[in-house]
Amino acid sequence: GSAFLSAVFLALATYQSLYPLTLFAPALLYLLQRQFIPIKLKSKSFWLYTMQYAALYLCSLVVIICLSFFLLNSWDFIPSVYGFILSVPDLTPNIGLFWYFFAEMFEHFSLFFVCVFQINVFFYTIPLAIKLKEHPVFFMFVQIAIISIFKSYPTVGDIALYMAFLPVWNHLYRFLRNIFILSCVLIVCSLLFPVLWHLWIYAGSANSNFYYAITLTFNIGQILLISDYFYAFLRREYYLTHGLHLTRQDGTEAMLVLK
Amino acid sequence: SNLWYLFSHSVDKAWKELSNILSGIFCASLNFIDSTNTVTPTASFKPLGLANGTDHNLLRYAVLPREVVCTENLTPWKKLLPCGSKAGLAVLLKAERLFHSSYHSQAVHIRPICRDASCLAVSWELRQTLTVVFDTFSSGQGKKDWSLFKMFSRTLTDACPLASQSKVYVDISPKNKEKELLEVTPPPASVHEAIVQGDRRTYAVYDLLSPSLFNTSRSLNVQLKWKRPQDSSELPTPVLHAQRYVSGYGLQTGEISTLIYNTHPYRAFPVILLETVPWYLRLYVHTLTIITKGKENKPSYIHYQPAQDRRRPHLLEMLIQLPANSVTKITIQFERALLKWTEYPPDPNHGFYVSSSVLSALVPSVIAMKDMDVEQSPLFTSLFPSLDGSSYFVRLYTEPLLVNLPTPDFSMPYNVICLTCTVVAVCYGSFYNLLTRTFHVEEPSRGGLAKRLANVIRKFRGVPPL
Repeated sequence: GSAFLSAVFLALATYQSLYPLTLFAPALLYLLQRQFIPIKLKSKSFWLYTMQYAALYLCSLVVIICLSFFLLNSWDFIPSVYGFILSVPDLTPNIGLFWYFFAEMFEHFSLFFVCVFQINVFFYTIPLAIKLKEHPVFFMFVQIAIISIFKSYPTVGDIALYMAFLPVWNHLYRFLRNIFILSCVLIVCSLLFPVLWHLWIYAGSANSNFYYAITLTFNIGQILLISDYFYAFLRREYYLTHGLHLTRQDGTEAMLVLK
Repeated sequence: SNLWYLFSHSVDKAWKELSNILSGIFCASLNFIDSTNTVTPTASFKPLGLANGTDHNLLRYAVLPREVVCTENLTPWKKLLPCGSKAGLAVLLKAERLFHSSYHSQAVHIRPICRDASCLAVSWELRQTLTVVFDTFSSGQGKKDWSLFKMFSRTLTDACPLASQSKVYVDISPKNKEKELLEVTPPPASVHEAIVQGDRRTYAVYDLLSPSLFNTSRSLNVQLKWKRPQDSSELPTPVLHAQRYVSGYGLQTGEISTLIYNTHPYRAFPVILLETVPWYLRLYVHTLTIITKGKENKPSYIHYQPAQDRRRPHLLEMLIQLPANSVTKITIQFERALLKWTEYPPDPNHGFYVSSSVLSALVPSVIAMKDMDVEQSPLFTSLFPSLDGSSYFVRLYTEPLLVNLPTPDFSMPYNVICLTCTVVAVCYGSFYNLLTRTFHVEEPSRGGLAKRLANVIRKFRGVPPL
């Protein structure tokens, strides 16, 4: 619950790869919740706390970057580290979507699509913050999952990070709609990844398209998993406020629908 | 093709201009030389001729391994000769016979030299060399006899009037010193002995400018006949030779191995190895191993410059001591990168060429060489330079390598863009739905459009509605 420690560690994570910047919002919401400060745009205490936390975070980030500058005596590390993450020059195949996309990109549009893909990671933060402002822990979980799906060089370690948190929301199991097929998709894709890699690179009998297709399927599986958990969470919230057994006006059992 | 030059100032701009100008002069694609295949070696190349103190930062070396030499490179090369290909020795250089050979190499060397002994003025010396290997054994019905007419389908008729010297040297060194194994016709006017690359060799000299040469016949057709039938005598192996190959399987990793042979019976000497590897083969320098006779051989000087993606290649220069009568194996592992689809050449599955590595060494010669008068035999001192009599300078080029890189599917750019954007849109769509919509209890609906339309038709037919 310490704001200072969380700001320091968040700055460290952001320093390493740029994407934990989006985790600032759920951390802020969590700390506001602990301090019992309501999130109203007009409230002074809200802005005061936000400014303090933001100042802590930015100062620690600046301190760490300047430390690197003094260690290295030049600013060269900024384009090498952050420029590399943002501009995706290396196209070594990984489990993400971007390597093949940028390998087959027309040169004319590469800057445009790089910008679009990087914005994709960051722009879910504000809408999720508005929707999930009372549930910052779930917000952080969804944000971590989005980072690990859409970052420029995803790894299995990132996926393991958010999947490790799935047991926290065990109670959502009864509201999940597609969990069986999604877990089948994820398991089958994980098994097929090394097979098709071997077929492409070592056996030479498959194409890069095979590996790319498994990448696509795996990422769709992950996306649908997260959105399924999100749906289950929202549905449970509705049941928490309106009761579990819903009846219509004439007494028959009601169905819930998103409208 | 490779190009190297030592500049005096403003290197990079001048390098680009030089490569473009030479590309135009020689009709060779030297304009493809850019920073991705240019390196700055520190030790391998020293300027020939006069030079002030050399800063190795002003030296540039570039190789284009994919370029082959062909007729359109020969023609401007011949145009640089004073008589062109119309008179003198160059009449022999006709393209259709020259390229019907096992090996062909052309070079142009330019260096500043003293104009006279007092060295008050500096002039530029242009030296052009052409090396062709004809395999008469396989094309001449199994006989090793050759003649100028058989090789070039023409003979020499006169010397170039602009030439101050025009000579033909034929190597008639006897292998065994007992009797004459070969016979040269017409009999040479003089015989020249020289020590070339540690070997004593005898040359028959035909001077095209001497008036007695064309007395008997209008044309000169040098012929060489072997008196004895062919005994399977092997060619002597040179003191220093090298091989290079790629090993490994699959399209992910590989290993470059260089084997350097020192066949001198008792002398060890150092050799400088220069390797230029393109950036898309990512070298793992920590896997560099040098093994001689089963033990590790540590080089006394290593200069390594790592590659930057799409900007410059790897440069590895090492000074390795080769013990006598040994084989040295240098191995380094690499990883292959996936390139953007526009960076592949038109035939991507042919592979990518890795340029040959350069070995420079002062090889000790078995026979002591005497100091030669520079004016007496300029050919030999410029072709086979030696610092003192005991060693001669050799620059070896290994084979270029051909390496396959993993290729994306080139027919798929539109499909890939569509599919990836579809996946992104799936995420966006589901999140948009969940973020902007809320749960409601479902109201019974009046029926869809199809049901209503069906009811309207039923009313017309007089049938009760659904």
